[in-house]
Amino acid sequence: MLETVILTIAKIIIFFAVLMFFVAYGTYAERKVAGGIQDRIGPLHCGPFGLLQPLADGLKLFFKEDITVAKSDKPTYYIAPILAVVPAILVIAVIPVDENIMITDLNIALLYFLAVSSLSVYAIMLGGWAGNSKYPLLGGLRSASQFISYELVLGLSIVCVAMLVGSFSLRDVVLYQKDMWMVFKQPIAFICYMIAAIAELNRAPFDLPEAESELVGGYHTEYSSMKFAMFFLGEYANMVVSSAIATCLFLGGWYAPFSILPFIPGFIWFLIKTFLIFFFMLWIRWTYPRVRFDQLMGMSWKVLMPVVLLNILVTGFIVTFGR
Amino acid sequence: MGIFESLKARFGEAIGDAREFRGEETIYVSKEYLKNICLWLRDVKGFNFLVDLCGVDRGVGKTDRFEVVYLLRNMDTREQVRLKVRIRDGERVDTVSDVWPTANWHEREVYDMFGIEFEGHSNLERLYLPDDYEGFPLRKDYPVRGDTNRIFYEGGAKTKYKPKRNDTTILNMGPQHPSTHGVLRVILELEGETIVDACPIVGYLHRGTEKLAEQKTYFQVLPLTDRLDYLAPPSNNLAYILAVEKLLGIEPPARAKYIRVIMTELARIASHLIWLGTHAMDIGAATVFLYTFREREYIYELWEMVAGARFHQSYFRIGGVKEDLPEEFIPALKKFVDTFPRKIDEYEGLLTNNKIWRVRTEGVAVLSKEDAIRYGVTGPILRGSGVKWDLRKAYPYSGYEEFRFEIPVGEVGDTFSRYLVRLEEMRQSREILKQAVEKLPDGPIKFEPGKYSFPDPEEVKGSRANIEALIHQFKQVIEGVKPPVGEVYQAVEAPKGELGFYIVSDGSEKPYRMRIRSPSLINLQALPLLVRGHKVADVVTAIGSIDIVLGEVDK
Amino acid sequence: MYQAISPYVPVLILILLAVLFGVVTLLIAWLVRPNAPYSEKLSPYECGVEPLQPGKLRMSIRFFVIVLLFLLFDVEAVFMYPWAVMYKPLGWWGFIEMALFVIILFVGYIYAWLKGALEWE
Repeated sequence: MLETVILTIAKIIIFFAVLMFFVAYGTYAERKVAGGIQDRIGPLHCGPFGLLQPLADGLKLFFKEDITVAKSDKPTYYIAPILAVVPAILVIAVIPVDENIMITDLNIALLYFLAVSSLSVYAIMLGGWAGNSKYPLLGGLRSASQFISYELVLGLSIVCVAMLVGSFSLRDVVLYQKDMWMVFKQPIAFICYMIAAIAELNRAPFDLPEAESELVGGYHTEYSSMKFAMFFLGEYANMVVSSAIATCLFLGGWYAPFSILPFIPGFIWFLIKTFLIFFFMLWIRWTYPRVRFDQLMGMSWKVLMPVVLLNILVTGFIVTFGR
Repeated sequence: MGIFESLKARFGEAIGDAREFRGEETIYVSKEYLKNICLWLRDVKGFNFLVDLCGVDRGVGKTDRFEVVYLLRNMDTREQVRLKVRIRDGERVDTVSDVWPTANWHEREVYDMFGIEFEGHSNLERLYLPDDYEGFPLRKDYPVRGDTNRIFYEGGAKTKYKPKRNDTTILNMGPQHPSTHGVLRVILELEGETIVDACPIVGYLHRGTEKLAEQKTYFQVLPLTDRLDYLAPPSNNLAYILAVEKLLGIEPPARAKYIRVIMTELARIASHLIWLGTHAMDIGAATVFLYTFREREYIYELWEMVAGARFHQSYFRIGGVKEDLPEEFIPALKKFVDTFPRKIDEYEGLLTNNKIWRVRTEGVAVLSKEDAIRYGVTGPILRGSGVKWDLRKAYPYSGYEEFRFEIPVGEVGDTFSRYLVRLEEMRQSREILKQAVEKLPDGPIKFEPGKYSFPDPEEVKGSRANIEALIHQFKQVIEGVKPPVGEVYQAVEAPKGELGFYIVSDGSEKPYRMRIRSPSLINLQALPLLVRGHKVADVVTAIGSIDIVLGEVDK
Repeated sequence: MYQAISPYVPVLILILLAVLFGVVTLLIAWLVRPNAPYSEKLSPYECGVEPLQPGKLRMSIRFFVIVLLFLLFDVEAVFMYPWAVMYKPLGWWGFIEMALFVIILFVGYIYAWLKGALEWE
């Protein structure tokens, strides 16, 4: 019993460390990729190739003065940044990195993912509300409506996958894809999932809640120092886990593509695929302009919703009558 | 029959005398009939465009102390006429802001600077200075350093905004905001995310250039003009220098004209590059910004070769330019001319056919042809609204009549049209540069050096030193040029629109009155028109699309 | 050995760790950072001027409409999860049932659309 608990804690700490590593070097990757796309170099001076840049950034933020806005709603003001990182960390509990490497194999893993990840809207909502300032509040409101609109699409695109697999366990979902990845069976669900995931992450081109050009910083305008860093951390952690979940759902998790290079262990494949999706998100951000709020809402409700509902019906039809 | 004769025939005694100086007609009219005259000129004579409206203080002791000057233009026949109303201190003038809406801010500025009140004006408030400011700075008896013992402005005075409706939210945007392109402030009245009304507030960067110019000799004013549209200084220099040359009645040699054209067309490209980069960044496409800055950097290097300075060159001189082009300049410029079209294609590849870019710009911030003219909008915005109007073609200056180029015109008048117009303008500027490099004539670069500008340093103190040049140098330093009594208006097609200088000379070495018609300010006035009914995000798009630069807005 | 504990125990531990991580990080930052507040620094951001209205602003009714729509559709989507997992055992009968359900959902959706609830003005 005790051994199991210790083993579990060890596993959790390793997973957590890997996540944090990914988050730290996610910021580095973002800056390097942006630099490459924009015909410049990116971080260079902290360590070889600027590799120590994330550490330097973190340290800097620790030593920054924290400004707590007068007349802010103190409890919510302090809780919001913590809430921003917690959901992303919780999701790693159910991510199967390899057939037998995962923290816990919940049979409701997908539901757990949906439930936990929807918590992060509270961070943004409360953060926007607590500052007693208009720009963050407008950002928070936008974010909440954006988040719930895309939450539906995200959930329904997962339904498409669950219908084929017949299970909510992420491990089962990956095992199901041994011969053929889900992305070939459910391309529409994959596209919907990716759009919804990027929108939920508030990443460009859907980064309206924090649209710098209109709302300055959006919901974290009034945050500084480490509290700001927590929002930042939360965003990247969410990106990493979203990419990981997408890998499990659609890209065959730890399986090598077309069973090539079998000597490479599964978890390496998993990390490579996760990084590719992560890179895809960066690529989009530095290429596309930002959509407008009404257009964003319209896309969710008027385009993606009917498409994904139809996809469910068609999937059902093929599964039932196609065999 | 000229304008003066027909006015005289129609209004008789209300029309005073007329004067002509350097081909510009000035007609004095009585203030009682001003509005009728304006309406008649607009509706019957086709003077649909109010170019400029400004005040002049004729001096403390004069009986009719103030003059209000109206510069009208008929855009079809290209006729221009200047109307003047003379009033005593304390007298009021009828507003013409209901004849030409563009007069609204002009009249507020005149009120702000001279204290002249306009009868029937809808919101006669100070334009630049804070509401609790005392005194009218452009009056001749106002000290140039201001009243240093008192602090007038303690902030917060300009926060009085009356909401149009009582169920709306007021959102203050600027002066410290990343996408108002400087210290512009816009008060937005919102219903949810939809804009009910917008109220631009300017003046945070007001430096009193017009007052400063009255204290300096004609040559010393030149560096002040650099700071107007600081993204395209050669255009400002050119407008000012051309105005002074017109006042003096001189023409620069052909080579100087060509060099000026090269510099100003580079300025147009540089300015449009900044516009494109920041505009795209406002809409969220951050990458284009870095690309355009890459090319702009090259232009700044070209400028550095010619003028020694990258930003504020002050390279033009009265009657020519300071120095001849260095040897390495022409090859470097040729390289730019050859590679630049590919760069524009690169920007277009990222934006023009991008679906998100299209939905963000098409149908957003539409300005109709009629409104554009009514609001006195000029430059790419006017052309984007479908008016084929370019001062380089309408009143060619500095040898532009010798170049072949097209005037791009938009169809819809939305943000996307303006985007296409500016991109095409960059291509046309490149075309002009190409022709200028091919046809660049040899010869002198100054008109009578020594008489209108400093003599060659070698002649003053060097191998070719002579007493005549030394005397010229002395005269230039002590008093500079002395133009005859008169007044001129000279405009150029600056990257942002019609940049005009109206200079009144009293025969001394300093301008008696210098008025800057800055395109950004007047274009900005149309902002509420553009954004009403749109979303918050569109305000940023509209500001970017108008392409303001605050140095010019606030003067 | 591994299954000796409930699969939810790791989740509990993780929750503790995650909250601890947040709190400890903020605590460390609180210990090491400088603190020099004055009233202008602590004023809410309003682009460099004094706030024109209190920060808690009037908000558009559109936001609430979106929330209502979300509630409606999300509750209906919740029914789909158990159905999706049991889809294959249910066979064609399950398909027809869900088809009917989705059609009813669609009718409501089209109604909302026609009523203009999906328009952002």
